[in-house]
Amino acid sequence: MFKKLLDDRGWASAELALLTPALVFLACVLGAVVAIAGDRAQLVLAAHNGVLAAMRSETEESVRATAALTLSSVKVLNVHVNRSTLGAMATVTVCVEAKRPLPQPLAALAMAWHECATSVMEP
Amino acid sequence: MNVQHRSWNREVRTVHVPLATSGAASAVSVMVLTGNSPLLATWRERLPLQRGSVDITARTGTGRSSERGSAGVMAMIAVAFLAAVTWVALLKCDLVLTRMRVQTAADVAALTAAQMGCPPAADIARRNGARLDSCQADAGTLSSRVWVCVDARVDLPRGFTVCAHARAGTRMEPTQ
Repeated sequence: MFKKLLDDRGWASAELALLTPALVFLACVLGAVVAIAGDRAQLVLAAHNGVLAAMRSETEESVRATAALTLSSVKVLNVHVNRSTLGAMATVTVCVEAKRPLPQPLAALAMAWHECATSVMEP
Repeated sequence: MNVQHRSWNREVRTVHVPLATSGAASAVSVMVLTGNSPLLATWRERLPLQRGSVDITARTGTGRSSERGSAGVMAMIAVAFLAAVTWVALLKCDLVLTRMRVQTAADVAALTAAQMGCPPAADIARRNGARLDSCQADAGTLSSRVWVCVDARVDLPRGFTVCAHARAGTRMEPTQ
């Protein structure tokens, strides 16, 4: 039994040496995918809540605060409220831009995402 | 011909080679006998006749030599499996995000339809990246409210369609 294990020792080491970096790399990719999806889902909700607040004719500061309150784990870079007209309608577009803060060696890799939502205003 | 050969940790004590010589090459059958096993492998190959020992390490299939390359195959299978899992996760995240965007478009379109009617709601859905499939105003069930139901959808490149449904109501002035 032990002799058989010793025979296979080199094969198992080679397998581990090949598989471990691939497993670690793919685990990092999956973690990043889940983190990015979570961040962007928060942004969609933030834009949604912001445009609902803008529909109530609240001030721009209130709209920004409403959108920022939705975001818990990402850093808000900008909340842009744009009011315009579309034919006879008054519309408001709320765009939220944010990114996940990363520790210093990885800070340059942080990507900023933005989401917008548009609705009509109270006449 | 007897050949002494050491193959990794198994010593091949005797290689018995019955020869049927024919010119420079021979049909050679080799029976590999080891210390513990009476017969590990039978090897038959055409070889040029040579004096001295015959290297049978890579041909007899004993020790690590028979497993050479198997780690690479298993690694490729595992990496392909994990890449497939990653692709499915990416697709799932894309669908979840699109679902949230479509729901936002449907919610805002429903609020717009409750205030201003269905034509502006279609435009609002389009500006939020969705398409308004249906908009139905139901003002008869409650005298003071109008309810609208909207269905919005987004067609994804890979043939998926994400739909959302929203319902909203607004207070109307009672008619005299």
